[in-house]
Order: sequence, then structure tokens, then C-alpha cells
Amino acid sequence: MTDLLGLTMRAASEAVRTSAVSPVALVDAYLERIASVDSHIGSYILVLAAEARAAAKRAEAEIAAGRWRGPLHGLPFAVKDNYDTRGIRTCANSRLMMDVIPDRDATVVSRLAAAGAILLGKLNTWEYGTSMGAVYEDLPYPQARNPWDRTRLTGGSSTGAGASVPARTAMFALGSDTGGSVRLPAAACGLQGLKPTFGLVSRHGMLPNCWAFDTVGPLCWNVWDCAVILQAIAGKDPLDPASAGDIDDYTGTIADGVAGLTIGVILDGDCDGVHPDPAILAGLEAAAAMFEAAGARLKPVTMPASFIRYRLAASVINWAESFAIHERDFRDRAALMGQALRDKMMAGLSLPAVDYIAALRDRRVLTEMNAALMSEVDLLLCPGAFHVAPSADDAERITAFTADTAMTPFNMSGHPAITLCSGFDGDGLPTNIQLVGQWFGEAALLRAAYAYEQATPWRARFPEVT
Amino acid sequence: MDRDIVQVVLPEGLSEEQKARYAVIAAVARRTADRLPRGLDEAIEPAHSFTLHLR
Repeated sequence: MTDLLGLTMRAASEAVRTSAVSPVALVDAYLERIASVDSHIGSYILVLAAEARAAAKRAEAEIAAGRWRGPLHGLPFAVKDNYDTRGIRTCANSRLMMDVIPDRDATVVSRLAAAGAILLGKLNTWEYGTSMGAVYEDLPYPQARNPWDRTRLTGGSSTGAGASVPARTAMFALGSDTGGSVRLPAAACGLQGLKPTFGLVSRHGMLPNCWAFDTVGPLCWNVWDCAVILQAIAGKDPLDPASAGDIDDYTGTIADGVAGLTIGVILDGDCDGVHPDPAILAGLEAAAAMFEAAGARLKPVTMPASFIRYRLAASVINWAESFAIHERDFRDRAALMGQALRDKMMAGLSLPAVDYIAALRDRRVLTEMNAALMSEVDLLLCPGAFHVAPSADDAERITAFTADTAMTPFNMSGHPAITLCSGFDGDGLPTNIQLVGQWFGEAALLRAAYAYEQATPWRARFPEVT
Repeated sequence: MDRDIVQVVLPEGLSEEQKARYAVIAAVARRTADRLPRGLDEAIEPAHSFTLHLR
């Protein structure tokens, strides 16, 4: 009997296409897995068992009738609970939203449905994607647990997305990345987490955190999965004024390798005196060696500005925009907010408009600096998260984990970036690297990520979750 | 500018603990904003999110 949970997404897709595996059996396997382990992992806020089974039966009938829609048809997935789902509550793990049932689907939800993917449910998150460097157990749903070690943080804010794929409670997950919220949980949970170019994927129907940076992104076990999902969700949407139409073929060239590419390399990262963990540095050096052996030309480079400068501007923009989003609730219903969101409101409340404008002006400068750096290379290899997942009750290390990253600079400039599992430390916790591409250069970015994944053994190791 | 003159109205119903917390957070936020570059060339316009991809 086929181990349905053990199939890669690519293998499952092919098995569904050829009717070797029924979407009904696949969805049932995932629902049974959720029932079996998710009380320990907490990846879901809401499971849509009946809806998923009904969709699976429709998919099975369509495929049997010769109407296979494409590689996502019949595959079970889940979305962070900040994406609107028509007729289904979207609460972003906030007491402010416990009764909100949207009358529309987010564009990405409807695009995945059109591709035939089957929604299993809504995933856990920090409230409206907010942490402020600290995690409090004061939200409606307790935080998700890291499948590699349940005492460890999943990273966030896409906590359930990070936990679900390695726990095999979803085949793939959709998160959102404002300052690293796809890449950070992907790094902590041993996944491949893609933040596309700002504007490539519509945010319509996504509860906003910070308009300047909010980006939709998938968290997956394999790079191919990211490419297929991006193909389904990317492209201009008249309902999102920031969306663009520069779509490429993300899977057609994915196996073409890195020969001839120039890859800028930042081997250390020095986050204002903080350096990546030794295991993460070792993974980074090994990745650089792998790319060179595969025919890429390595070029040592440095970031054009300090990480703290990116973080300062990003923080001020985020606090100001979040306050603009939640001002009424803060004034009328602050007691319903978790401490992290309330803290962010307090920060936003205290900032005059001139500070917000100063930060937006520096964003312009920093973006042009990043563009100059990227003009020297095809891709950039650098650290993602500097540390492995900390203990979920270690406040100091949680602050360090969320702050010591090289992720925000690429939210600032909108460049696409992907974090990849680069091995495991002595405690068996996943380490990570980050690759950064050109604006709308996801095809080359995914090519390099795929080459790395194919050359390394890390996808053969799964956490034991019982 | 003396940042201490920035006036805010806190929501009603905040506990004394939350009001004290506000004082600390506001100070951190203002110190953060104070570290942003000022006096950039006046030709540098803000980067608005929806214009980034139109460069």
C-alpha cells in the first residue's frame, strides 16, 4: 500500500494525474494525520474536513473524466489564517476577528482552487503577523510547536505553515512575509520558504500587516513545489494595485543548473556584531562550494548598508502602517489585542508622520543600494536566520532569533528570496541558507535553489512526529 | 524638535501597567526613529510600495 504521506508533492501530483492515487485517499490521509498529531503540533486554527472531502470527490471525478487541471489538481494544502476564505472564518488568531466570515476568497485562494488544489484548513499565526520580538501565550489559539522539537519555536509569523509541512498535516502551505514571516518559520522548521518579488503575487484578500512589505509566499518541502505554486498564484490582479504581470516559466527551466551564473556570496553576515551560529556558517560555506563545483562563479560581496539600518526603517514603516490599519480597534477594543499587537500599536501611536516619511525616503536609498549590489551578480547567497530555532520559553533567544537575520533587507527592496534547509545542527535542528534573486527573477532563483537541493541530502530526513 | 512635546491620547480603559508600558515603548520607538538618516538629498522622494515594481 502506498504511503500517501510519504509521497513528495511531485510524486503525488503524478500519481493523481495518472489516477494511481485518488485525491479522496490523499485528502483522507492528511485529515487522519491532522486528527492524529495536530493536538500536539497546533498547526491549524480551523480544519475544513467536510469541505476538503467534497472537493476531493469533485477532483477525483474531474480527473476520471479526463479533465486534469494541472500539477496541483487534487493536492491538499492549507493557508495561514490571514487569507480570506468565503463563508469560512478568517481570524488571524485575533480576538478582534473571532466572528468575521468573509464574503470573498483572497485572490491566491481562488487561484489555487482554480488550479484544483484542495484546502484542508486555516493555519496558525501570530496575531496579524505580529511579534515585536516577543511571543506571548495570550492569543485565542496557542502557538504552534516545531515538529523537529516541540519545545522549540516554529519561527513566525506563519507559525502553522512552518509546522504543518514537516509534520505532514499539509502537503504545502501558504504564508505571508512582511519582514521574514515565510522565511523565518521555513528556516526554523527545515522547509524551503519563498518570498517572491514584491508585486508578483496579489495580496487582495490578505489581512494587511504592512502594505509596504506584505508578500504572499509558499512554504514547501521541495523547491519544485514552490515553483509549481508560484506558477499558479503569480500575476497581475486588478484588485491589488501593487501587483505586476511579469510572469515567467518557473518549472520549465528549474533543472537547468547554475553553470555560468555569477553568485555573490556573503559568507558571514555580521549582523551588527552578531554572527550566524557555527552550524549555519558551515552550511553556508558548503553551499558556496557546491555552487562553485556546479559551475557558478562566486563573487565575495558585502551588504551595502548595516542590517540595523534596514531594520530601523522597516520597523518605523511597519509600526506606522500597522497603527493606521488597527487604530480604531486600538482606541475602542485594545483589551482584546494580544500584548504583541498592542505593543506595536503603542509604537505606531508615538511616531509623527515625519518619521514615517523619513523611513520611506531611506527605503528608497536602501533599495537603490540593493539594486546596485544585485547588478553585479545574478544571485546572492547569504545567511537567512542566523540561529536555529530557540526554546519556545526563552524570551532572550526568541528576540535574537527574530532580530538576527538577513531577511528584512530584501523586504525593503522587494527582491525575491528563498531560504533553504542546509542541514542540521548537533541537536538535530534545521539550519538554513538564503538565496536572493533579481526583481522578477524567480526562474533563475528557483533554478539555483533546485540545484542546491538536488546536490544535498537534506530532504531525505523527516522529523518524527507522533 | 523636542520629541517630548509629541502628544498622544491613549485609549480609555488601559490599565496603569499598560500605560507605564506605553511610556517605555514610545521611548524605544522614538529612539528608533531618531536613528533614521535625516537630511537626505531633498530630491529623494519616499518609496511608496506600489511604485517599486514600476521603476
